Amino acid sequence: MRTDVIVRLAAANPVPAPAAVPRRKVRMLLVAAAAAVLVPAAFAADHLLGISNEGTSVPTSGVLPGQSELDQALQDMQVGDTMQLLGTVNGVRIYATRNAAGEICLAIDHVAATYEKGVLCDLNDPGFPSSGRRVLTFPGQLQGIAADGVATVQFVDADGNVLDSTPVTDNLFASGTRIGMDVAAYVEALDASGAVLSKQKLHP
Amino acid sequence: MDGVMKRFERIYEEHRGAVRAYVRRRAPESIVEDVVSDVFVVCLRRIDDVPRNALPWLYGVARNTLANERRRRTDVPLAPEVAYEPEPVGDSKLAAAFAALSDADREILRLVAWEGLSLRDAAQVLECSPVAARVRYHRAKSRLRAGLDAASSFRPEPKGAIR
Repeated sequence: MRTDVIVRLAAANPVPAPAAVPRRKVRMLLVAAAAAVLVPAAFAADHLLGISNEGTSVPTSGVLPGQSELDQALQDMQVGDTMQLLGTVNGVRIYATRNAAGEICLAIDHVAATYEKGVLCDLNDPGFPSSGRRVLTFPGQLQGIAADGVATVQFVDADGNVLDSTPVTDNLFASGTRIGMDVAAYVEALDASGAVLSKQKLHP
Repeated sequence: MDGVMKRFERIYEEHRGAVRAYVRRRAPESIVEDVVSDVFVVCLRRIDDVPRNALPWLYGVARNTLANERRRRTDVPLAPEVAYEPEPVGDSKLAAAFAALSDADREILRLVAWEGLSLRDAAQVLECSPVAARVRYHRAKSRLRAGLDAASSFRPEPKGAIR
């Protein structure tokens, strides 16, 4: 009976263990950091990101000021000396660039918040922007960039229910609704008529 | 660099869910994503320090990150209540007895019962020796059992802490 109390406690676990995640090719790397590095020659300066909004070049050191851990993470992710400031939507500054591997990395900085900062790099091949990947967003909140021609982006669950939707302006979008990680199953890109252009899986 | 990133990606993919569950068992949902993100930032920065058995190491980082987050948010007026901890569900007597334990007792019991760690791995999370972890575990378990026994001996069912 020595383990009874542990068995009883285990049965009362408020957050049961998640299902084992099979190994797979990583689709998206998300860390709370930002990125920019040497730009491969394949990406000429005027087509760096593959979208109309190429933004304004700014020093990477100024992207997330005072965030030493994030700055370090940017370096670890081989982000270079500059990023493109694409604009500000709903109080969220959005930056992007390509790192040394040619992957698009995205950084966000909430102007009015001290903690809402983050970065992701798209590790897909082909990556954003491509016919199957017209949206690059943080998986817990609709914030990111969209390919040309995308008018609206939305999170949907596995049953197709729309969880959040937000318009795209100058390739940028930022919803104020945080739905949380692992809630949405897909992100959809819609054109101006409401037709779905792409439906991307967010998780394995 | 490719090798480093591949290793990080593998760790992230394999353990993200477990790290998230660990944090969620100890903190309100409102701060879970921030803490999990910070854990993996540290993982990326210190990738050379991450042992082959990465999960206990990640739990240790999460534990420290959560403690820092609580301290940080305590200093912020009107910050969300971060002292909240989910309690055992579906067993009110157990929940009451568990709540009456010290933070240290609760943590080692959670690591074994909820995270399913061995005492050796729990020791790594708690940054103590396996022997110390074993002693802490048995003492904590005894205190929890005593709390449950005490709860059973009272009528009506006590609602407060029992030591």
